[in-house]
Amino acid sequence: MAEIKDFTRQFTQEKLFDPALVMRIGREFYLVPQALRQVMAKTQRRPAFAGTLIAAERGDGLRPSTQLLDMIAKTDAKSVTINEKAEWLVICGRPPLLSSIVGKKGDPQRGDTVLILNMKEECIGYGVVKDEWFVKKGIVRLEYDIGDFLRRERRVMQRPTKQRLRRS
Amino acid sequence: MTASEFLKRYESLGASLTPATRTGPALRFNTLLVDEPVLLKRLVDRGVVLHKIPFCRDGFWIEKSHFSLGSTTEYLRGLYYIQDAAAQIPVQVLNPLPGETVLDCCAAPGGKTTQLAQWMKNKGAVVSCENSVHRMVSLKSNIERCSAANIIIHAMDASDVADLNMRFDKVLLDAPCAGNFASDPYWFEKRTLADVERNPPLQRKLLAAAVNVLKEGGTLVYSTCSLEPEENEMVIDWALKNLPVHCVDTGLQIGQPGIVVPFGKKLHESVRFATRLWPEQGKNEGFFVAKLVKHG
Repeated sequence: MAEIKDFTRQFTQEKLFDPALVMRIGREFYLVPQALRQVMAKTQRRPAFAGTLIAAERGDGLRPSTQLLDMIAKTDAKSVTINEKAEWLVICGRPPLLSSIVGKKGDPQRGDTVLILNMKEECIGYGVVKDEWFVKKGIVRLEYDIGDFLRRERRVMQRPTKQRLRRS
Repeated sequence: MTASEFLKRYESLGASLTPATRTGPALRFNTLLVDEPVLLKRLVDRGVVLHKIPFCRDGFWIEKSHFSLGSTTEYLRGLYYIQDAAAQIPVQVLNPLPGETVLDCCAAPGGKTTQLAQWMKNKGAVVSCENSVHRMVSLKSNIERCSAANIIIHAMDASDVADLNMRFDKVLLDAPCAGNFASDPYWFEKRTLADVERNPPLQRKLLAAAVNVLKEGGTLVYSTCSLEPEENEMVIDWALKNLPVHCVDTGLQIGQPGIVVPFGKKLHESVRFATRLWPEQGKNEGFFVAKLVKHG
């Protein structure tokens, strides 16, 4: 739970959910409401997934779920809004350039962690502001984008079968 | 077995099919996240041409798109799921309601699992079984993407579902099957009658396990995307003769009734209440769906 707090504090101090509802399953964290807990209580088996995934531990830190990013987006979190062309690039894992940023919320400065929103105010990832705003190059270092949904399945399929089984 | 031999089999069952028949790409709007008119306008504004599937509540055929609909922001944010028209039918026939406890056997990759959550408006519980490690990745990923919040997955074989010590209001058994040629251009090269004959013992085992955990009066929907009676009507015939269930009308206005006399073998009369969809060019793949109710 401390990992999730540390992660969300990069964006906001606001309370996003009831910590009592958080359940750890393996390397993943879930929000499991009371109704689902009652169903789970009927069986002695540990599930592989339950409720709403909020984050997963990865070798290099925490990978937030779309749902967690959406919760953060509803708070006072700092964000940048990018144009439609850059939206496609971000989904492909490319950092947004200064010229593609059409809006900012919360006056983000160098070193700040920001959500990346599209023109419809939907969160498509997050990153860290790496330069001052006047520098016309990759301005936000991309930490995560929703294109990961496509890449993660590809990664699993590329692993040799034995490795896939071992990781289970 | 060659393509023509399979096609002769289908002809003897009353279907005149050509091996070039291909399903039309389709998608399902995720009403957990977006209202139909909003998403429809959004996609139409981007030049996508969609056509409402008359027999699916939330389904559309993709008539034209200049880009892959499997990598758009709308897709990655879960606003729609790419799913064949016929594959959207079983959940519709099951009609899961908010607050119910539903078992989803053989869940990956999650099309029907997320559709169950959608129909239940994320209320109640969907208990899913999946025993393949790498298919589990797709399943979890699709559930996250579609913001389904009432799903519990167990990494287990659905035939062991009694180990969960639970009883379910409804069960969806989309059984592993030989598939059909309309969704796989190499199907005729890969499949033999021996493959088809290998599946029914597993299908019967899964069906017996699923009926065992179904509450009395509860509903079970059995479906496959196979065209072979051995995996469809004959499995239902076996269930009607060996399990405490009866077959009821699927309520679908499309397709044909289940075949009661396939290849000269007389099956239980109420097998006709099942629905069989033959592949239709540009529309849907082949599918079979039967609705069973457990009696006391």
